[in-house]
Amino acid sequence: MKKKKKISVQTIIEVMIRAVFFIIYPALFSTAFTGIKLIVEQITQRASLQWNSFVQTLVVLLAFTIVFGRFFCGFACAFGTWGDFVYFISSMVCKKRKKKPLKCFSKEGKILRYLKYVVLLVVLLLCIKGYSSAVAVHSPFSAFSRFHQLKMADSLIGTGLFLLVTAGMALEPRFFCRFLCPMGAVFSLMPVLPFSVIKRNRENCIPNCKACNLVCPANLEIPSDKEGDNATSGECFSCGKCIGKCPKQNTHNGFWGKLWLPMLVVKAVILFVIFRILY
Amino acid sequence: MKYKNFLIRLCDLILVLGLLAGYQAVIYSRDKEATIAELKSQVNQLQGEKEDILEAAKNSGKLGTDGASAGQAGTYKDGTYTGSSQGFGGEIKVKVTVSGKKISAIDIIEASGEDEAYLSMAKDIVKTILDKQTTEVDTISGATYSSTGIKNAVGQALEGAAK
Repeated sequence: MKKKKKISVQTIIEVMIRAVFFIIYPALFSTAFTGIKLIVEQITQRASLQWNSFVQTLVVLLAFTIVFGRFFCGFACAFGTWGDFVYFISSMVCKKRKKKPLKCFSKEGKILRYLKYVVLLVVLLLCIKGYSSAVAVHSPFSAFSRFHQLKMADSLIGTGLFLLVTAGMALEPRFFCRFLCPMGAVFSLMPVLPFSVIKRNRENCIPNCKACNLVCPANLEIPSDKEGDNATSGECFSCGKCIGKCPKQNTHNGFWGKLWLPMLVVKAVILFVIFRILY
Repeated sequence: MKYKNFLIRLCDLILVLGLLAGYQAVIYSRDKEATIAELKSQVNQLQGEKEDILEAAKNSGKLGTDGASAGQAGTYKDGTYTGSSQGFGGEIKVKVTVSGKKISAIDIIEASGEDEAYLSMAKDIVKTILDKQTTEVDTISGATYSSTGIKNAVGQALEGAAK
């Protein structure tokens, strides 16, 4: 007898939000990162800092992250959505073979998460040295944006890197986002306002449960209400899986508590409208 | 401390924004100073050019108008020249003698159309022309047309004498 799996309303809404941003605004990550590159180049050339559409997108995303947390990473980044999709296929395949979804790098994750800061520094260093256009042409994201437009990629290196990243995304949830994304490195350093940080009421927890930690794609320890946030809070991209999983509804998002799903939609609408107005 | 990480990150962000603002201010004032220096050198250059032009203008002498163009306060070729111009009633003809590179004599050889009274008044302009060695002189009031006629006639004569 086959068990029929109910797809929850939450899952449908989450998929729809990711799909909308994937189709309509696939270049936000790249635009914001170009803003960072431009600022760094202007400083190294002792030129005055200029405002342009790239820097504007960067500032909008950073401000949004400060207020609402890394919602962008979790739902609005096309690359992240691609990773989620690839990982979903990979877990389906594992399920057919009666195996658990792959989490090949979960132990190394504690150290690997620092790699994205190294990637950020290396890319910025290359731009300072004048290789900015080479970086842009050969990056896996350029290849991705070409494929997104159903065209061939310009660079073989870019295509190769993109395939490697995709393979990684199949082996470990959010492989690129947690370990390699330079934009994610910047977002993780932002001071997320307290009411957007996901935390839990430790007193209420079932002893030795760890359900939230196990379901978290980034393998994070959810901070307690007492501490407010912890050292890995910057890694959280507000996917909300922990909130859905907790058997005692302990995890919550500040005073929004059980309004997680409506707040998710509100965040999506606000970000979408902002970009609609700007562009 | 609750939300320790938030507070640390907030301080870091404020620090970074402060550094960027400071950088921008320094670059801005540096750019302003560079513009000022450039404008100053432009002003100096233009002033130099202006002085050059004025020098050149002085050296080449003044340019006259209405037929007296040759009557400049300058040097003339020795010789006798005739010139004519319209007076009050008709043509006035003059004979101008240049000797020693100066206008030495002006003779009115014909002024039949002029009234005797006006003509004798207008003849005073001859003295002034000889004094100032130029036809850029005031006309005699009361005998404007006649003196203008003499003046222009001398000027025409001197066109041949101008060096």
